[in-house]
Amino acid sequence: MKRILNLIWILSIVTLKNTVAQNYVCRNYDWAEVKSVQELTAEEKKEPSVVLKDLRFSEYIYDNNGDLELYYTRHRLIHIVEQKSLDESNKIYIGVSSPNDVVTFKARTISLAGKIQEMYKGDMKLVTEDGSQYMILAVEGLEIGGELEYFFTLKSDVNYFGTEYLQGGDFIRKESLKVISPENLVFASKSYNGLAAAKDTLIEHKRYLEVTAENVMPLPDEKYSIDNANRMRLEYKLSENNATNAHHLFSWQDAGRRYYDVTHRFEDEKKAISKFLDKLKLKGKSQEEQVKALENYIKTEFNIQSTGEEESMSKLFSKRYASKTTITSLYILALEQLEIPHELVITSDRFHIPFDESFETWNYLDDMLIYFPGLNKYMDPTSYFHRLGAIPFQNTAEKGLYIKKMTIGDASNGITTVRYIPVTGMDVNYDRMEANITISPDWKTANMKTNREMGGYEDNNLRAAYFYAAEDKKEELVKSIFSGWFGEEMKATNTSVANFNMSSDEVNKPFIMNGDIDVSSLIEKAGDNYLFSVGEVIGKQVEMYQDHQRVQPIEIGYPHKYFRKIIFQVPEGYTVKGLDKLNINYVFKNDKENDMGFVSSYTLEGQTLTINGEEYYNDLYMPISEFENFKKVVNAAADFNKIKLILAKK
Amino acid sequence: MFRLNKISLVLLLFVALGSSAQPVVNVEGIKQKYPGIGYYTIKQNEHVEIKNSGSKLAIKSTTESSVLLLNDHAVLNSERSIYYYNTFSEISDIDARTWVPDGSRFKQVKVNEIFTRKPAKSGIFYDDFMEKYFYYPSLRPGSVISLKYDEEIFDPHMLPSFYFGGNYPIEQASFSVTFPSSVKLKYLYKGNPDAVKFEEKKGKNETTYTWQSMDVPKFESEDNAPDPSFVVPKVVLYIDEFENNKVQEKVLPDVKHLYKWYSTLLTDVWKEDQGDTKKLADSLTAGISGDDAKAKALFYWVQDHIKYIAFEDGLGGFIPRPASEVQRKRYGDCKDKATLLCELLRAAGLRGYRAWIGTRDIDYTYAELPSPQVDNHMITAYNSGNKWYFFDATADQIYFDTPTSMIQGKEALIGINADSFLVVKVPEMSMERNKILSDYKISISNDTVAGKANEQYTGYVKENVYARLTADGLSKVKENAIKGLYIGNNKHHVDTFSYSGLTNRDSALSFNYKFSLMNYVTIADDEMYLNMNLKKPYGDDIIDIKKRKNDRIFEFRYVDEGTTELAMGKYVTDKLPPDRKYEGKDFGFSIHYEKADGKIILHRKLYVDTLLLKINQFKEWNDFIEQLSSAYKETIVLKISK
Repeated sequence: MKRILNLIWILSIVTLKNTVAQNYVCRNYDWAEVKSVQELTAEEKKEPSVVLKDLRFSEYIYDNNGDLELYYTRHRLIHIVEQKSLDESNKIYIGVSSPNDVVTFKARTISLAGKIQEMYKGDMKLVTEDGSQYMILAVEGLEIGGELEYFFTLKSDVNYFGTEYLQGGDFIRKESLKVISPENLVFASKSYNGLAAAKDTLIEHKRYLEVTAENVMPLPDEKYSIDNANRMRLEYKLSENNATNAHHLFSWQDAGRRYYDVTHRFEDEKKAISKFLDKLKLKGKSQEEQVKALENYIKTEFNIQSTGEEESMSKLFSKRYASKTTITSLYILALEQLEIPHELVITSDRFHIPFDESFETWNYLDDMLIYFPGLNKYMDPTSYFHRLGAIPFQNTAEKGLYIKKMTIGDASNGITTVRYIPVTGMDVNYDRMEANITISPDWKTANMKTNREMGGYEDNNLRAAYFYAAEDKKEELVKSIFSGWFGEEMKATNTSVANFNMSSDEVNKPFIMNGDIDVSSLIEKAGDNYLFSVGEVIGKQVEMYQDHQRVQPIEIGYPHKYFRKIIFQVPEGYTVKGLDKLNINYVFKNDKENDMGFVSSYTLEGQTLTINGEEYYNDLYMPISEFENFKKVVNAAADFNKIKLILAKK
Repeated sequence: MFRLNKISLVLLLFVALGSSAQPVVNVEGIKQKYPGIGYYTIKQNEHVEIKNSGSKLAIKSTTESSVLLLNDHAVLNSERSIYYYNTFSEISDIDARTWVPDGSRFKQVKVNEIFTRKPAKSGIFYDDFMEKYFYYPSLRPGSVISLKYDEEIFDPHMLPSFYFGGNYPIEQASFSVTFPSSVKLKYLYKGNPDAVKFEEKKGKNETTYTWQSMDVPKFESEDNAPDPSFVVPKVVLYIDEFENNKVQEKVLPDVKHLYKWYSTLLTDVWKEDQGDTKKLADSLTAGISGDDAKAKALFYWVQDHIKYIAFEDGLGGFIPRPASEVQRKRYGDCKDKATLLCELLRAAGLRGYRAWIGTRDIDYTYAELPSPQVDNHMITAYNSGNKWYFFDATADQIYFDTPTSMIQGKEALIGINADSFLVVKVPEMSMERNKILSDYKISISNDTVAGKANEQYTGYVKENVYARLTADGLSKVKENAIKGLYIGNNKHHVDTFSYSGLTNRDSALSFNYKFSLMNYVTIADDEMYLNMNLKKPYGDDIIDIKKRKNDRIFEFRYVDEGTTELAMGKYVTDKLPPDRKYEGKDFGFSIHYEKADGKIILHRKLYVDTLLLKINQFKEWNDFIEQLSSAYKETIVLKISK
């Protein structure tokens, strides 16, 4: 997508006529001679590796024609403390769009004994992985206690937006990033997650935007956090061209116009589109029905595939595949012909890089959605796992650009506003489970009639997985879901699944799975009595028992709630003991309403024991100070999972 | 590990064929026969044509396939690939079409653009593996996709093989080869003799062999299953000899010539100057006396200091780098590591040899198939006294006298010198060498259990635990060790955890820690219930006999045993659970409770003494698991003594 945004017309904004090509600062970049490895501090020695130096330069210069060029230089020095970091560091991968991007590359290893081995560009190879190309190098002579140093310069496509992470999985002693540009080009920047603000200086007709950091700790992986989005990073963008007196470049309005153009690239194929729409027989249908029919057709008949082949609407109709952008264009152009009010919505993945309205970088513009004001519903036009009314939760609970077509006279264009994309609440995202349990007369198995109803995101894409699975794989999938719940030794019979047809109205109903499950592992023998692991009926739960210092605040995907009902027939001739443990009540409130909680209770009538439980998380974000409470609720479910009842002979 | 089985790999991954003739297919019949099927291979044919110019062989294989799409969502699967190694073969004349149903006939749409890329391959840093890929257009349920392409094979040592089986059922599969009388062609057929029909047609100047099979069932891939090559019928071709300028030239008549070919590829390696390597060997063995002690030091050094990076370009898939280069670069693949270690051993005056070997996922012996398809790996064989040791330096943390688990029981082709070799079988490690030994001493207070644990791991078990513990670096070993513990109900707190022997290959890895298990004891009135089985390995490992289609493999034989010792304190119990045991030849367990001196001691042992569980053993296995899991369910009842 970004590539499409960077079409030539943007270049005209920054082209400078009558210039003389300049040398870029990093043209003769080289390293100093080195004789030995560096000493580490006691603290550094505890890390698997230490990045002693990580210097980055993003340099924009004009060539002879006055066209802008971008050179990206990176220089790293890594001290290897142990085996693991040796395994990770002895291969270098540099992402490129072509092997010719690499202008310079040099690497060397410094052994403990001070022996130096150098490697060059010619030692690199090109590979493709998941559609991206990399220049790779196997590092020679690297050892524990030794160091790897390398630098490279890439000539890359000019991009006016940069995202650089200054925190990762390794300890960094010293790092810096410089954005260097001709005097007339001014870059704006914003620092995130505790990174100091970048400083802007002008030296000999060049601008230097610079940020540095020292002794940066790695960010640990933590459950219920948005790791990547919490890393220190700098966003920067071209904001002014003094040579043309252009200010406030690349605004959200500009982005909106650009997306408008991109999605209207095939506007002149109106006829092909109307022929396509005729086939769908939409006449006389309501707006919502029309949208659903269009979406179902596209998601059933077309495949999203970026192939590098030339695209058009007519090619899409005959080949039945095209890139995301082209398929989204089809929706937009079709909706216009159908005169259904809509807005194109562009936003980011909140877990990867949350959208920040206050800094207009187009690097936040990753995912395309469509909003229907008349229906007050959102759609992800290219996700096979979602249908009108549901979009990936990663794109919700943050803002995005809303782009609407505006026609004045003969001219049309996109008008942009920045608005919130709401997340659905726990009334929508729920998992309701009911189990009716009896014990077999020989005490070998617990026989459960189970019923499970999953709403909203709580279907965890099982509905889509089931819908898209080949017919002869569907049963296996259901069994694997049950065995994920009750363990491998369970036997499932009479299983049934309902509301899985993604292309029908079933998609708006809860996804339902029923089955009769026999499990033997829930019963233990205790002399003349038995123990019944009633807690295991709710399935394995996340456990957070061990203590660790929490580093990141809590963030979850969406508010959600679990309802659990267990009806247990106590075998005749036995009484049930140990029921007190079933009464659990952990509820935490914020100012307004119940925030999160785990509540369970029971009733016993004759030989019928009924247990009701609720667990819910209503807040998406919680500060570290709330972590202990959060853990209590999570662990309450895990504790419940461990409850055993005693079935004592009367 | 180096490559091989290349061509067969392609066939299994890729099921498809094609020409411009209308597909003939009975869709309704197929739907009835295979309800719910998503894909169905109508034909899967490969024809190999060998020609002899008098001085050179030209080998061309033509693959043709067609697949019927019945899956409602077939359109989502439009990308297809053909894989090959570009040093050894070339792909040409790709003809791919989609046949879209149009009344009673099909309308064809040809694929116009074919792309080539160098794909990354798991476990391989770089090699000459290449990919041609393209996108089938106009897909919908009921479409047929066809593919036809040629592959020119450059080296007569690397003839194709063919598998009668794939990811979908196949209506008609055939493999054929045509060769002139000046070529002596051989083949190996493995699999059910009735599954495939063989036909020989002898012409005046050439012969054609055809293997054909109809209604080939699909291959079910399952966890812990043997490689498809053990299950699916297959044909492997190889050339015995051919007439080259009127003289018979031997290619692969027997293992002797296979070795000869390998040895020729190693011409430069045999002659290598050992300058640096000698220096290194001297420094590593200085002060060490005894051959085995020296060999051990060298083996461990290579494991520790030469990192595994598989960088195999072209013939580099067969030829190791010189030892001195590996020593300098500090990385290598299996051949490189084997060669450096071999040269180090020799430099120290010891008997070290390079040895070719096939890992356990290869189904051939050198005697039945003298072809490079038999091996895919290289190790160092070391001879001491009358004993062979098999050093696989691609392992990180393996003991001197232990081959890696993946080569147990396999034949090693040991290169003694440029002309002579031996084929020696690598031993399978006994279960006693791979052990988990865990002893717990516990006491109870209310519903909490407090305990002290000692756990020990040896052999392959230790290797696996080592990998898990060190995955996030040495500073995280303790954390990962604690995270991986599973005791009782798993609601545990672990204190004062310590470990030893992690990086010492000659000793067991041991954990010592204190723990408390909360809410583990179930209390009712004046009784308390405690399950002393703090670990329940294999407790729910029932095999679904109706569903499972393949044998089950175990990475290694092993024993898991130990004790749980409960200090009774103020508690008494009337009765201990009965002793339970199951003593099979290949697997079994025993659980025994003992009362002694204010304690109850649970003794348990579980063993798996086989590498392969055959389908006909599954019932016995399930009996074993049922008995085991019922033994795990026994609880002791405690009361406060009055």
